[in-house]
Amino acid sequence: MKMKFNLDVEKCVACGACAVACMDQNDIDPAKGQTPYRRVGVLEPERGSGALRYLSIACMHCDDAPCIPACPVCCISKDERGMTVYDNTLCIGCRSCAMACPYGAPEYSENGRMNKCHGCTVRQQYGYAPACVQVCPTKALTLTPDEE
Amino acid sequence: MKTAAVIGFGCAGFCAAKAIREAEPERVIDIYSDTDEAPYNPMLTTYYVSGKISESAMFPFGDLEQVRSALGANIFCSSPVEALKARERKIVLRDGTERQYDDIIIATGASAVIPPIKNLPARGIYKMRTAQDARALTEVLAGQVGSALVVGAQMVGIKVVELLHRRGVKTYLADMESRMFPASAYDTTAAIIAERLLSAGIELRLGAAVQSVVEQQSGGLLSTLSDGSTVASDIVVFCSGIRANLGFVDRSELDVGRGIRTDLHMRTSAEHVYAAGDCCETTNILTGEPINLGLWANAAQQGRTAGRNAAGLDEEYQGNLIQNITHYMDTDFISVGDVKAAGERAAWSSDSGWRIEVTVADGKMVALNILDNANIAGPVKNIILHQAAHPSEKMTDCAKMLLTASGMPKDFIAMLGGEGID
Amino acid sequence: MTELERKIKAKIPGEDTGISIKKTMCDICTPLCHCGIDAYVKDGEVIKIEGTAGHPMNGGVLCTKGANNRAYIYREDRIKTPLRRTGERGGESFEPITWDEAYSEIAAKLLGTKRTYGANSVVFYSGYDKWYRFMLQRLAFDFGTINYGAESSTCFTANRMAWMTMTGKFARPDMPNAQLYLAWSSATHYSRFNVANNIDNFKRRGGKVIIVDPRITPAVQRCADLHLRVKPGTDGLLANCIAGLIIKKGLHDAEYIEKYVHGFEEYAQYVCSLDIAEVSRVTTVPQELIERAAEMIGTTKPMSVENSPGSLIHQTNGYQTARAVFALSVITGNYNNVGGNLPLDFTFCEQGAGFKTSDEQFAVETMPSGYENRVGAARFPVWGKLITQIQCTDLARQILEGEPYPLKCLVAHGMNYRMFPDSGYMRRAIEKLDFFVDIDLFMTDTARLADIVLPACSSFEREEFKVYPGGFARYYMPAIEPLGEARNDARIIQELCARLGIEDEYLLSGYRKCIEHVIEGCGVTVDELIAADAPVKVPNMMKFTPRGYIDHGCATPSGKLELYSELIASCGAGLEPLPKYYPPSARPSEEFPFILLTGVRVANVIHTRLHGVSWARALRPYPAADISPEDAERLGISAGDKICLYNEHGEIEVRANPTAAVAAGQVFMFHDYSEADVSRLLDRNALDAYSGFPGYKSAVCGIRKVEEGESV
Repeated sequence: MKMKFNLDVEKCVACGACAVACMDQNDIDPAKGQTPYRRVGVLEPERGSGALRYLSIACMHCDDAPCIPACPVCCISKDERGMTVYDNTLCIGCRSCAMACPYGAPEYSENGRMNKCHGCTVRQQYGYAPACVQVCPTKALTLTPDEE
Repeated sequence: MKTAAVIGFGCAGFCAAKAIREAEPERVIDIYSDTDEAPYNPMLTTYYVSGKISESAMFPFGDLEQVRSALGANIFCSSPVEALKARERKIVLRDGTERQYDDIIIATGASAVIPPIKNLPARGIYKMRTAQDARALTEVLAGQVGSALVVGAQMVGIKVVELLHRRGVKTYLADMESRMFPASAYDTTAAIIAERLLSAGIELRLGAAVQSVVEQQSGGLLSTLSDGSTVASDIVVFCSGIRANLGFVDRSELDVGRGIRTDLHMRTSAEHVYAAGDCCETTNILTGEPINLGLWANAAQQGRTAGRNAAGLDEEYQGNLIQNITHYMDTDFISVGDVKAAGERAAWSSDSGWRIEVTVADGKMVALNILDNANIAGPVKNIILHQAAHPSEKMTDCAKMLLTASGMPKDFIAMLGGEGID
Repeated sequence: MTELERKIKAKIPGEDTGISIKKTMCDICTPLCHCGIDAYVKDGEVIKIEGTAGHPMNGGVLCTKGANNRAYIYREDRIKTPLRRTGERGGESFEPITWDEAYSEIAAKLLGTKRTYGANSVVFYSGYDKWYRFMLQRLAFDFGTINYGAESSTCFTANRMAWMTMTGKFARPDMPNAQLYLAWSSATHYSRFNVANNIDNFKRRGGKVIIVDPRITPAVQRCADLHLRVKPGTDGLLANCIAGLIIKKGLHDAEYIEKYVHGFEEYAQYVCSLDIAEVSRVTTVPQELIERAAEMIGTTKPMSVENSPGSLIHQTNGYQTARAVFALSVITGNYNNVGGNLPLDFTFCEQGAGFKTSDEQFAVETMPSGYENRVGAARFPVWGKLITQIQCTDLARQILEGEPYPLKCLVAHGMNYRMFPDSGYMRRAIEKLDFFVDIDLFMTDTARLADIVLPACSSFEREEFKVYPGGFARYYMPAIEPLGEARNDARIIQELCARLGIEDEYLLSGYRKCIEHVIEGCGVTVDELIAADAPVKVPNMMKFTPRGYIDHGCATPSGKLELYSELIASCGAGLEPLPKYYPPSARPSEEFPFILLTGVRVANVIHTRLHGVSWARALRPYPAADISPEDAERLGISAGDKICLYNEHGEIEVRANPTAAVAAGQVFMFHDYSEADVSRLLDRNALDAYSGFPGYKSAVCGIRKVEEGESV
């Protein structure tokens, strides 16, 4: 079944638990210059208007993901759960996917290879929620079937 | 049973055939290729030469057999189409055979251009476009190459410079234009880039066209440049640009500019004839004018669009946007749009090292350079795309947050949001 | 990649992957939480964590801090063996020693000091966490010293004191049954997410919410029907003014007051004398909003009040402010009624779970005589009467001055000198000690001052008894072996007890036996809890009857709810029995125009414990001060700029974080950064005269932009 990530912006407080859970799940160490696949932020209100807004952003696992055709070595693809997954053994670190992605999802490790959110697709396969969804203390972040 | 011909077998051709096959399992698809290889990616050639990838990895869709079975198509190797009767939807092969199709997709790509220099020596001269070019350069580099002249300070040239430099080859880089990345960098960005190359030990010969290359008695080559200087090197590698492959096109039957003109459905001026990839020319998102671009991702999307429309679906390509991203020698250089476009200029830089410069005209960003901040390249480019498609919409919170979180200055974000430059 | 390799990479538990799930808990933040954790363990090492599904505290999720547990327990500066200092205090020179050597040295030193200066010259201290405190206090008393204290001298306890002064007990909000929830300064989304979620749910089922907070928090934006954006430190005035309006409009519960309240007339006379226009000017809350608040509080029943365990009371007028706020629950008849505020008897370790254990009696059973002479009790007499610990905010002074008697040795679990105002003062005091033992997980700046450092265990490496609201008891077993030679605090207390020659059968028998003893009568045993490996509903719950406690007579001097405190009156001159407002010590001036509020909660860190964890750091990489966009613009400061916060006590360099959450004229700065220690800007004598609590939020400062090349 195709799944999709949702963020309820009325519940998110940009606390960053999702980003930390992501680092825990994926053994990401910021001390080595690595960054989590999910990041959070607070948007200040525009002049004279309203509220602070809170967001959590990672790969959106777009239906028609622009990173897939952009990759010159075809290492990005869709899996049966609709997750945009990748095998970076062939990655040449050319940054083409970074140029394609509206969400700034691709990142590059010390060895030059791309990494990004894989939707914890293996966890999904074995009945576990993605780490960021599992941790979310306000239940702002969810994974639901994609009803087209 | 309906039929389709795909002329040319690169990225666009493959993606077109794939799109047809996905939409129409029964359709007969004939693919005409001038090589006997699977589609290769020209961008990967330098990576192969540098040793980063294997030879087979230059063929990202697999080898010929894998591709053939994935597409369920007839692939005619080493069978270039000599002529196209677009109105009749007929192709003419070298032996004079004519075949008619319900739909034809032209995806013949582009070829490297070597400047018109008389009497180029028979050996020591290389170019960088095809898998064959890559094999040739790899072969010579396996032997003794102490020095090299790279001609063309563009995206391909810089990757060749990088791989030569990494091998310890004394490298010269020449371009007839007086700055680095003449088509995509501002003077300011270009100067920083040149400075870095110089300090890495690359010899730059900018504003200097190659006028002659002669073989010396010692076995090396001596190039004479238009600025009067000479460069002695073991090899010369031309990376001077590409030109669409249009030799078979009858311009009385098809509307052709620098490439075959198409609309956003990738339809040419002839019915049921489509074009996609480096051989075509379609609408520039920012200017509305037709433009020919040689970019892998564009080729893939155009090919898919052409294929789907040929299969009777209705799909529109988003349009062409001049865009490049290159990562070499610890530098990330990103450019979007036409840096020569008129408008107001503004620049930002940070302690952490990145630099951004933009051109704004009529409140809209028309060109952009980013140095050393690949993370924002995608969000920024997509904001430009989005605004072109939906001029009245505000920037999304998501985009704004990504830029804010990346430390982008407030007024840069406001400018991207259509508020002009403060 | 094979399927098994994919599973291992994704950390899927199972026999094939060799990954098992061990149930444990987080003790990074307050014991009010201590959420359940599933530790994914492979080859004895934690490789991932997750919240425990169905856990009564966190039900499968975790907060930002809790999500850091793996990086926290494996922090690089974990201490692996006992250490003896070989160089200067505060330096890096330590040598590993055996536990036996460490205990011998500690016992010799403590017993020698006791012989020379008396037992009271030895102080026992507990920082976070609290789980072993009932044993540590007992050990201190067994040893013969009256001087046992904790970080509770600066956190939460003043709230407890405020409720105790008025009602004899602590109280909790009965939010599930309320119609109106009055949240007085609580940024729960970044401190206790379950409370934040409760407010969300409360709101969703139609409850009305008033939030009093100088900041615009997510709760303010999403839940507040009324937001009173009060000027920090003037909350007490606002609460009293609201009370006056309620009384003037006759919205108070006269029948209830008549029957249960002591000192209403004096109180009413005072609060009714407040001029709303003047209050509005001082508090910066518009007059009409104050009136609306009074109307809502006076007419919406039931109402429950809650304030944060540490924001109001971090003003130098915090205790009186807390009393003024809680008084609103009393005059409206909400106290001890369904949906109001309910008297709370702590079950265990300052957590209420609806049943009784005897940990508090256990802790003080062996209290030596002369207890009134403990540190800080005379200086802060209300504290002295209510709280059976030393008031640690007087500790540094007594160490340095030796008055009224000398303090020579300090045995501390997890001490952090930076938490004390003017942190250099406490540091100097520690440096003056004859002997300092620090027990900690990490080589902290405080541990570097110690003569002996003992390595403690994280919550993953020990067994622990916990209670949870709703009547749950839980006994956690270790998820992994202790790192290196680390030993848990309770075992250290047990072993130290033996080495000191103390014959205390409970302490000598160890933690589990102590727990068995204090939970006698609850209806569950430790063995049953261990076998369950999950929270267990305790059978023997206390019963709640509306007004039952006040009908029976409160544990106050008058037996009634005291708006006029006889306890304070008995403390002598200078202290005010009514919850009267007085201004906080923070007085912005031309030189230092900003109110500086330190210690506010942020999502990613708490105290010192997560500053050194790169995951937590990544979310907020630099020490940063939240300031208003207006002030930032006026001072030419942009987000991320280096700024200097300064006052007469010192200066620190931080980054600017302009945010509309903050009002002009205020600076919110998180604490305990080694590189930007905001405690240095606090006045060590700016203390609440009643509770002794420091004025963490009663400071002032100036801001200036740090120019390029300048170093502060």
